[in-house]
Amino acid sequence: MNILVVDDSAMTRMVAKKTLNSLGFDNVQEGEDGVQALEIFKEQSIDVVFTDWNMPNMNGLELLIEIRKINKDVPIIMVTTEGSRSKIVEAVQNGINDYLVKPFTPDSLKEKLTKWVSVTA
Amino acid sequence: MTELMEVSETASTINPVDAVLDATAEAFEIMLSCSVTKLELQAQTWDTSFNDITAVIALTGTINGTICLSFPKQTAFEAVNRMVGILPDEIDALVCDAVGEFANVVGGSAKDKTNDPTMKLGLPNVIHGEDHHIEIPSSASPVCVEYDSDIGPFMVLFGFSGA
Repeated sequence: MNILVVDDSAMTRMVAKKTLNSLGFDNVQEGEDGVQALEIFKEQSIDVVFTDWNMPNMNGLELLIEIRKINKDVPIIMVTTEGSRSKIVEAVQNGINDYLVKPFTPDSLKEKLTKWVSVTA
Repeated sequence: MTELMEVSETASTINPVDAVLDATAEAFEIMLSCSVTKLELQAQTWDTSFNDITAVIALTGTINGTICLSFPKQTAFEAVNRMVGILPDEIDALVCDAVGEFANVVGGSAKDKTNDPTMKLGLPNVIHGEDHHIEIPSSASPVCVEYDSDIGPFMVLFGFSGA
């Protein structure tokens, strides 16, 4: 299982990676914005994407749109402070699979991952 | 989609001041497993004395706001330690990133609590150094809240115009 975590906050990526590692997922790739994440996605076989929304260069919604042009199926979970109805609708309309509002707990991250790993298994 | 929509359907609307106070307590509880105590809430000016490191984030829309979270360095170091198990001994990129992310989470959560669809969240800026000052070009009169917590004291200074 190869997981891509995208967030401009190094701290958030570290927390997510630590949580995923503790769940037994050792292959965690990190992207600090949408541009870097898209490059990683094109170069590697990624099974699940966790992405922030507000990032410089390319935000999470733009990343979602770009990934959906080349892969309709990979689970993409938005992990963001943007929890308003309009934002969720916008993300859903563009193909997001799930949504996790910050601040998140390790348990909530685990719950989302377990859900989508079992769906795709 | 129905399931995702339920996330926001449950949101209720509260005023921006309570939204920031609730968002701050929530962020500390969830991100750091840390309870906070409000020591003092008072009217302030933007030209105040901040702690060693401060994150500033703006909210814009029908209501415009600025939120500053300011930490003594020991409090910031302990926050990093709680999040990733690394205890810094100086204000480095990781400490700045952590404090900025705190402001991002508090600002985003406060925005959602106000339930104002026009409100947009900016990206956080982080300033550090002894006796630093921040000029905020805002017409809003800020409120300053001093906190104590399991990881040390900190301060939140915020103001909203149009509120």
